Amino acid sequence: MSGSDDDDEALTWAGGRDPSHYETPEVKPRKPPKPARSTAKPAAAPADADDDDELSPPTSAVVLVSLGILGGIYLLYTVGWFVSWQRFLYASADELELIAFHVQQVLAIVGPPLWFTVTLLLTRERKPQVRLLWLLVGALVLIPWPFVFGS
Amino acid sequence: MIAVVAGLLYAYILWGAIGNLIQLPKELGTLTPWWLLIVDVAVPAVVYLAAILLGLRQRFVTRAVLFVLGATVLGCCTVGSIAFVQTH
Repeated sequence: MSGSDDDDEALTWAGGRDPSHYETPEVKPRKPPKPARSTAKPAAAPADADDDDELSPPTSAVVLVSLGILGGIYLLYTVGWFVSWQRFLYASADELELIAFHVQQVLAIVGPPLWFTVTLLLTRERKPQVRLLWLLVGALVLIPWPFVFGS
Repeated sequence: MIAVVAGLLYAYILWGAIGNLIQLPKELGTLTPWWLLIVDVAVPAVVYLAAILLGLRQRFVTRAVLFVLGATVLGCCTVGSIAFVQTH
């Protein structure tokens, strides 16, 4: 019994119970925090993996380049519709028809950027091929014909 | 509800296209671009159906955006058709 008390005394410092003597350096030798950090990493890893999953479809270089090219085409389309809106002359005796024409001109300008944005938003969880296919459809449908015809 | 409002707008464009299909041949005679006039009549119906089908299981906002997007397509087609008739 007394031997065990001696052992306890041997393991404690005399001023160990003094609050002012609480040794912060004792934290230093505790290296478990590092393993704890390493264990925290796997916990965060699934979130990273999710991010990777979300980004994985467009990370393909081919898809990225295709998206860039199509984005440029859509930008050109927008400029084309805008230029045609500036120089397109249309006369009509019907006031309502004239207003409708101007509204449709504005819609035509808005069309390419809206199609590009909506396609990217609505096909987030789809395959990159589906995304590119819809962008190609838009590139065919939204051609600025007035600009092409020079009107 | 949005389908009804969009339907009315699309119907107005369809009405104009049908009017062109009837009126333009009288003015243009043999130069009438029949294929274009027929396409102009078909496009509003096709785009409306596409917007309905694509928005079937979507939220209200998404369906509304799809109808607006369809309207932009109709705008491109109508203005493009007028430009074609003017320049050819």
